[in-house]
Amino acid sequence: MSTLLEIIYQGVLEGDQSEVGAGVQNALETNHSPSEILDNALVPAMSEVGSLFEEGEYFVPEMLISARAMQAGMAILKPLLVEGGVEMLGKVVIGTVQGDLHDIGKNLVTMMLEGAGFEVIDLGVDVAPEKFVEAIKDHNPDILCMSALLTTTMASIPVIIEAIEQAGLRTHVKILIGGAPVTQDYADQVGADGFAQDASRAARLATTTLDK
Amino acid sequence: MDFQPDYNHILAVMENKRPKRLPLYEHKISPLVMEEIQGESFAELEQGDDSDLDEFFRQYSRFYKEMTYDTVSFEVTLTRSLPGHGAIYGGMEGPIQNREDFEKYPWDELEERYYAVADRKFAALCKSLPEGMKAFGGIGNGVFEISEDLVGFEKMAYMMADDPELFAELFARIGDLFVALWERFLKNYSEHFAVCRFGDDLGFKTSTLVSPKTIRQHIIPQYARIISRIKKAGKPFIWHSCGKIFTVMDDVIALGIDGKHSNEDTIASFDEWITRYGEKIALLGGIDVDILCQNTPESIFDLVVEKATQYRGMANGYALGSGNSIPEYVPAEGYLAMVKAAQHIRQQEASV
Ligand code: B12
Repeated sequence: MSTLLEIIYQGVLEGDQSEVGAGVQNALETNHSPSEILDNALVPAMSEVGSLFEEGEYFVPEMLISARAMQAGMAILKPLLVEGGVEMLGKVVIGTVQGDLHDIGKNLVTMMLEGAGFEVIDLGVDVAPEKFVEAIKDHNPDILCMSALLTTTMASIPVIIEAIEQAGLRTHVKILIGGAPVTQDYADQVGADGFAQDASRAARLATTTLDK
Repeated sequence: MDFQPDYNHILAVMENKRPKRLPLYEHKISPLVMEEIQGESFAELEQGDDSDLDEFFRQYSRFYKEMTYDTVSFEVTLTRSLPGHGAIYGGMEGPIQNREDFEKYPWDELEERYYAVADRKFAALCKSLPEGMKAFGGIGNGVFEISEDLVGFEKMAYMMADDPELFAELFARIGDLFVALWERFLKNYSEHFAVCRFGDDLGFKTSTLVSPKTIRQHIIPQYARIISRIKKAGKPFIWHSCGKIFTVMDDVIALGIDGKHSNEDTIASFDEWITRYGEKIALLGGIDVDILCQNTPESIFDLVVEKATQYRGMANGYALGSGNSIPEYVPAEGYLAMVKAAQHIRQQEASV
């Protein structure tokens, strides 16, 4: 990794948004391509942040601060990536299911997905089944992510999957689920394509899911 | 059934002793679930005038007695009295985002705002307590939750990085507020409360919400101030906190807490809590909310009889209840099956 990319990488790890912003500018001025900066500095840095979180070195605030730093870099890169016709890794629609207001986990998953190079459309909290169906029609995502933190709201996941099936869209998207009461067994039982217990694993899972 | 409530059973639990009979404990029960079980609607009376409130608490306390509790759980949450409240639910910013907001926030009015609501409720509750029963609770929310409501969880993470001094002052100021609120509470109501508690969710599925270092630096010192007041007033104290908080449990136990509540099976089985901390403090709850929601009343009954018998045997101070609370989405039959299981255990023990 060049020194400039190293600075960006470190800036994300330390959550220093101005360092990342300045680093990205510098890198662009010294002929690093936007996708090189994304793939070789920002994405690996967020992946390292995720590993540190999994290992218990980083906590949610440290992740949020790192994600903000990464976004400072992305804000500069995004228009250039779009201009250059660079495709994002994939498209994800995410939301917390109906009746459920818990959003911290969903927001963190969103940030890690963005950090892994996904375009993410966030439907917010308390999302009705028909909203998920509409969003699949409108955005044609590769992956649908649902977050549920309550036992009762978790029970609406199979309802939503059923609604997606009814709309004839089930084969169009992979479905990943997570949240406090959700387990791998539950994901298998309701016919989701995957489950992850934290945001970092969620981003990895999304990436491997695309390959399937 | 002839049930005589006696809060001394709960006091025994707080002393980390095994009481003569297995007590029930719940952190919160939605009045909507109570209504369904009592067959009378009264939940809305909580918002009414003084006579409505009296009627509300008459029903409320009667419910706890009829369900065979020894104490009536009740708290008045602080968040609702905070101007600009709501960030704790997500989706909005809290009223304090920078130093200017912090300086101009009406800190000095908060105590009066809180008691303008709380005094009426506490007074009506105290009047309603059936013979042999005392209340269990106090001022709802803890230091961390108030910071989440005043700033917002995500914004707080940024404040921690961008303005660490303000972040530190915020926690100290929240601590000052709680000390004032608790001192007044203890002066006016401690006689009617068997046990004081506050709930402050510090954890989630895989760890604490902020680092143990941040908790030790900013939250524990404020807990220490509050808990020392409660203990000085001669009251036992129980801490309710959700999530995987093992990394800070010893720090909080060192503050002299008498008990801990809140557990989820996906994080750790309740026997793990007992094995780790049962020698030092009382542990309450044990039955994951999921169990009460997802099983038939028959299987809940069997499961609770089995688990609660085990927990009562393992722990010193133990009271049976859900791992969190009985929100409105817990089916009344599921909740009742747990209560019946407690009564069944008592009968079995009495007949030996
Ligand atoms: C903070 C919190 C709240 C806050 C929410 C703040 C907010 N803005 O989100 C407030 C105070 C508002 C709240 C309210 C309630 N809560 Co609450 N809450 C919690 C708590 C303590 C932490 C949740 C959290 O923020 N975690 C932090 C994030 C980072 O973690 P996470 O959400 O688990 O997400 C991670 C993973 O699960 C995963 N993930 C999440 N989503 C997804 C999605 C996908 C696709 C993937 C792959 C992965 C993934 O990645 C994330 C990051 O690593 C949990 C305890 C717990 N064990 O989670 C209780 C908990 C979820 N709450 C609970 C309850 C009961 C309630 C209330 C009903 C309380 C009440 N009596 O009123 C209300 C319900 C409100 C509603 N309608 O939604 C119970 C639910 C029990 C159950 N099984 O039903 C819990 C489990 C507590 C317990 N001890 O039992 N709560």
